[in-house]
Amino acid sequence: MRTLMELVLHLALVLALAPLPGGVIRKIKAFVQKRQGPSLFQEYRDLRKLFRKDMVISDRASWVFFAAPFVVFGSSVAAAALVPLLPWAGGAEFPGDVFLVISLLALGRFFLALGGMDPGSTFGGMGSSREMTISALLEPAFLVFTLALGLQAGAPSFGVILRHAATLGTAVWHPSFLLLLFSLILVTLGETARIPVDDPSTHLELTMVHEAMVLEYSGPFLALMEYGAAVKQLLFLTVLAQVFLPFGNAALAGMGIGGVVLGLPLAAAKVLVMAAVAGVAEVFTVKLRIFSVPNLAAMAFIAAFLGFLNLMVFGG
Amino acid sequence: MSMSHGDLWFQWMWIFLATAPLGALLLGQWPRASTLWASAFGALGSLAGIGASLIVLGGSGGGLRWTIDTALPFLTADICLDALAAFFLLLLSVVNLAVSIYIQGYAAHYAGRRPLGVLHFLTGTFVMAMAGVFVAHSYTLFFLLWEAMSLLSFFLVVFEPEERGTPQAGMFYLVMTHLGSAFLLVGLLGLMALSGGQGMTPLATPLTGPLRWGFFALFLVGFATKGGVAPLHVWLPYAHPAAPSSVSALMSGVMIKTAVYGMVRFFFDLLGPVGLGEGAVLMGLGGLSALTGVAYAYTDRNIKRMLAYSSIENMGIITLFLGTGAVAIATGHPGAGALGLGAALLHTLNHALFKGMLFLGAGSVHQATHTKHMDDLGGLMKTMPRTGALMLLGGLALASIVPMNGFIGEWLGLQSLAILVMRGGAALGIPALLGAATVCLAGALAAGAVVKFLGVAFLGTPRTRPAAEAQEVPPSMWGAQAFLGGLCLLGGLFPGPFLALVRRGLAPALTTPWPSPLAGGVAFLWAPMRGELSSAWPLGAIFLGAAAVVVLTWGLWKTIRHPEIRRYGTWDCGYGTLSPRMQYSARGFANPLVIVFRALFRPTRELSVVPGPSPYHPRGVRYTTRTERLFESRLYLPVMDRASRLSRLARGFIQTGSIHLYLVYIFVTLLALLLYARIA
Repeated sequence: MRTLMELVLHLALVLALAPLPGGVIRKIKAFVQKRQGPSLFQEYRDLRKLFRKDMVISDRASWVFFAAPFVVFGSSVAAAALVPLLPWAGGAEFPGDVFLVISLLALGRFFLALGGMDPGSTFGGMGSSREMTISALLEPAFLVFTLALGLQAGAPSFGVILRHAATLGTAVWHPSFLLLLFSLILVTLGETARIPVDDPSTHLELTMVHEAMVLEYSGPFLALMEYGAAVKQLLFLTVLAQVFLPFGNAALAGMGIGGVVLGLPLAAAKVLVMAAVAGVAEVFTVKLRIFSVPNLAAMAFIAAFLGFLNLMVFGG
Repeated sequence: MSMSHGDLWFQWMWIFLATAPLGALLLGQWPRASTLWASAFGALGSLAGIGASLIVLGGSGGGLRWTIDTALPFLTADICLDALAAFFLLLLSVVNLAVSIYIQGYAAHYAGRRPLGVLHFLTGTFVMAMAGVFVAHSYTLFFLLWEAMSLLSFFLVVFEPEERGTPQAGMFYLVMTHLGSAFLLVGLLGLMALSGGQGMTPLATPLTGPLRWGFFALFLVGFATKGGVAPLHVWLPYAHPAAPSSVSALMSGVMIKTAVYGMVRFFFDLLGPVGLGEGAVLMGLGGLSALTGVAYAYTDRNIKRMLAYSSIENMGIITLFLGTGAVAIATGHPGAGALGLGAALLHTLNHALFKGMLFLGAGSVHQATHTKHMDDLGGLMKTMPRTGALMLLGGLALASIVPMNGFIGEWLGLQSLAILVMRGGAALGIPALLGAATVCLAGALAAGAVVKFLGVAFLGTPRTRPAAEAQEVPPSMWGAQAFLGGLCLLGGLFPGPFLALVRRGLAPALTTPWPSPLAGGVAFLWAPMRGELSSAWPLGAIFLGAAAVVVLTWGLWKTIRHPEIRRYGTWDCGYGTLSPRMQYSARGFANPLVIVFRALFRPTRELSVVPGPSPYHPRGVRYTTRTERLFESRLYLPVMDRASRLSRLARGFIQTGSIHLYLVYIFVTLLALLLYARIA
């Protein structure tokens, strides 16, 4: 029962927090461009607006188009349930759950891509084709990343990995971890449709991936799709933040309920720091040609693999 | 003689399985009656087979043993249904049950065109031969039935010889399968000589050194050819699509699994657990096969050929897991070994279920639209909703995505590899990590292949008239698919019972008592469940949680707000001329991958323009793209060329047509034999 309570609480937090990093990234970009930019909470307003709208749906679409938003959202949330915001406070966790997270993300992507193809437009097919190629190339890098951390933590499970990271302290600046950090940043940029892999603010058919797939969605369906994407983004940012910014977690872990109360703002702050890093990275890079993205994926894989080798041969 | 329940079921299985083809052949004059007969008795035989194998798998005894003496030496029919054989017999029976139901509707596809009685006869005897391969307990019987299986499936591949490419596919298959049989025959004769008998029992003294490697290589080539493991897979993408779809389901679902059966039986049971080196070879070939298969599945445009390539991928994954098991056992990680072998067997069962189902669905699409080419289809989800929904389920399983069974086997295998990564040190950990990355990449690419297939053939709008006019197939056809699809979903949500079957099935494959993967110890912790048949197992909980989220969202949505839904045309940039041909084609979908891996696919394109009145108004444009099949063009064709040139050269010396020369040959042979008899 306690686990269930924690799980519900965790999911509520994830849902509440998910749209925030997007706002931070926008704000950072606006700041660098000397604009005031939209409010930090603009993503929440967008979601509220979309949920209140009516929908226009293609007359070519089948039931798959209607099912996709729910599956995309549901699978993101289910995956997020396995990646704890506060690693020491428990939640859903079992050995080997990293493979399940990868598969749940694949489920969401599968339906996202099918939803893109269902209305029979060229845009959707283009987005789906690109998304499936890019994600297939990025997935092994993410797997190697999790196994490398699992090797050190003792089990391929996000809970175990994040708890182990909390004990590392300054050891996270070990070269292996820097390689793994680099790899995960690349994977995160790819999986969350950010520059240099995809540009969420463009509507040019030559460059878009994610936007092309959701082009035919409107109103609440679009809101669900975007919300699901935000939850997935939060998942990756959580892993980034809790593995590579583990400071304070070890102290908080021993403090019981106080650790939870103090830990939540800290975890949120770390996630926002990582979002800010992504925002800054986005300012200083350009969108890559679609056929340069495989090189990025190869770099992510090699960095993760080298990090793994380093951990394997020299120890953490 | 008192008979156990198992014996009785087993006996009835053979009676029904034999009745089905014979009766169907005799009733060949009346196609409907013939089909009904084959379908009914095939289903009864399958049910009896399911019963017999479940009794053996559920019992604690050593299985069933029949010995039927004949007057001929070497032809004593020694039959043994032990747990491993029962596991594979179960797999065959379940797929055959679905095929027997399916054929009722599918036979209409051939009515009046081809002799249905012959189709049912060949299918029925093919099923009997496969059942025989699993239960044969003497080397001679095993080989005879293996050959029967190969030949009968050859006749089924060329069942429609007037179809383009079918005769070539058949010949290719025949040659390749006999190449494998030749290796197998040498291996079997060698084992007979070593053990000094017919019985397929583990060797008294396990082989070591080069002798074990020799036998390993012989059996590996024999089984890899039948199973379509790269680089011996090249026949499979021709043969499986050419056969009628009910037969493709049996071939891809079950026949290639005889190779898995053979590998488990010979490498882990008869020869004793193979060593580290052999395991590494299996892992390497498995990884190669998985990536090759999935790469071509991603790019292929023919539904059945795409499924055939995906079978190569899945056989690769199974082989990789078998290799992982062997490596883990040899290096003293019994828990990981059990998981690896268990994953291989579970994935074998799962693949039989979902691939059988997908091939049946491909047959339904073919029957409804008369085409196997994705680029001629589109929008079938609306015209064939049941088949479409079932294909979506099967596609999820094929891409090893939750909540389908395809995920569970890969999950177990990945966990076995993860144990090796964590406990095996650098020498084991690095290859295991690469193995895991291979499985992951193959799974991700398979997802892309499935999205391409479903997106092009089932979603969007129809590209041709037949696709637009397609009608849902009769209930027997989608019902058979739904039966297998239901098992796939059950196997994904509640894998407990399926894992229990695997555990029982593995028992005879191990000469030493085996730490059960799910019974306790370290391995227990890694397994995806905390107790057999337990409902409190995490994946079910997580997935039901996710389903709850979906339902909750939907419910909230319905109660809080009723968004007005307006149906309107797809966005066409304001031109108003969005034609079905503007949708992404299968080739277009795969193009980014083809370009990324151009070293593998070697794409070439050809643009020819029929000139018109001005360069800006051509009369016609023809654009073709081709990709190369690297294994065939770089490995098989050169070897075949050399071989045929050499043969032609040699013919001038060896076979000159002179009777004197032939007499010399006979004389020399006789001398050699006499000398051999003298020395030996």
